Amino acid sequence: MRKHFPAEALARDERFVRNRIEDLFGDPRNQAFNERDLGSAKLDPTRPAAADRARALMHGIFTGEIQALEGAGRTTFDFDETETPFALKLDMARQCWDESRHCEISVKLGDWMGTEIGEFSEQVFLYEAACAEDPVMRLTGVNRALEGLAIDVFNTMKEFGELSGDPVLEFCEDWMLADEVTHVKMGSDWLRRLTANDPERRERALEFQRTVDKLFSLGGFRGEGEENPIHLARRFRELAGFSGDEIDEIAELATQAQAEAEAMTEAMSADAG
Amino acid sequence: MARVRVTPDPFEMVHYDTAVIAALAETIADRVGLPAEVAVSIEVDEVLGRPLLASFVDSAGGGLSIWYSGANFEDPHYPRKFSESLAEFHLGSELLRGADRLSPGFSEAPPEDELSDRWRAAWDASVHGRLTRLGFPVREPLCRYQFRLAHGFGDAADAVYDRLWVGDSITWSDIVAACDETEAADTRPKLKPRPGALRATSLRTHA
Repeated sequence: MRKHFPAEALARDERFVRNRIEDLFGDPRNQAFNERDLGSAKLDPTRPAAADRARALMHGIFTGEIQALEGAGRTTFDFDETETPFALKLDMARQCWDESRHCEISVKLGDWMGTEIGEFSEQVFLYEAACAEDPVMRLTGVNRALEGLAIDVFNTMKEFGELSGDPVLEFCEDWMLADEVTHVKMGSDWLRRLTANDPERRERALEFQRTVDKLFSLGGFRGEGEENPIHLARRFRELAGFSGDEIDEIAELATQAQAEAEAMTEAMSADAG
Repeated sequence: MARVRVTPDPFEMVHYDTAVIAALAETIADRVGLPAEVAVSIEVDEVLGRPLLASFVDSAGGGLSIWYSGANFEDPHYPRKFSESLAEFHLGSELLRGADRLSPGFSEAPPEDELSDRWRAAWDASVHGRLTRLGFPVREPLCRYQFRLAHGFGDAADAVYDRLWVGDSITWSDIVAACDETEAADTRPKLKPRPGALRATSLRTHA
């Protein structure tokens, strides 16, 4: 069986359509959109198009769960026991079990919200973060960055369910959120254990995490301002083993990512003009 | 002169064709029973892509003025690409609601800026039920979810939704009565817009 599986080869049926995150940043509507004051972007039932925003995000969670399952599955298989302790593989296998359940819950939530599988396009940058050759980088890229984003997203969706009085959404998100906190904690714990005597390797892995965290901030999608649809879930991140400084750093990376995306949009508009 | 006029002409940021939308709207106007003499003006705000779906219809001087965010016609898979099936659904929805506005049964309906989310969701449920019976591509579970967001997630709201969905001779007073019924049964704390948040109608005033 093949090891180190590329994102292009992931199995999907004909319902799924893949596109690139870069194409979204190159959308000529972005600058005109940014120039309008559309108020708070936080996911909220009183906001315009709340149902469609929530449905699109829920579908993104669904495809993210598939990729998280694929990523954790690869880490279980891609390395031998000289590279990863058996107990780590066992944790990754347990995570696969959780992610499989999350996929099923997400499909049911999609049904509940009137969304069809594959209705929205899929981007595979989540899985791409799970393709690092060093298992320690996968722990930072997947368990701490990707699953950390999942904490932020699930907390946002849980709040949306709570505000809209939707008990199904609220409870399902809460249950999945609990798992994500565990996944991040596993990543934090294994990172410390595997790099206890190798500070350089730890720093490389943390640098990789910073890169992934910046990427996953999606140019302003995640942040701590009213203009950010997804907010950093500080309390849950603390429970998952992030220090206050680390959370501050992610917030700063998110701010940088937003500024860079806006600069990119302006540059592209200037080029087009 | 065609009874449907679409702006902008041409589209500059999205791959939509003004003539295609106008022709589709002409056909759909007939399908939903809009009288032939009613002039329809359609404005599409092409800056507002997915997921910002919003649309409004007002009647003036015997004609209809419809505003859409560009998201209504956008393929969910490919940004800026036109989706004919979504256009069919969204044109059908607003043209049918426009036909309602021109009918005596909806003479008391307030203008779009004054519609509450609850009123609008109830009206949409009725429109979507009728569109289904006219053969339009309507996804009922999505319509139900949108209704529940405005009216509550409970049996009382669902019963009202089912009644609106199957009704073929709904009037504005039926919509108001349905909303009073769900509001009385709605145990959720009143949703208050966040500071700085916009109502859906604000999207078009910011165009």
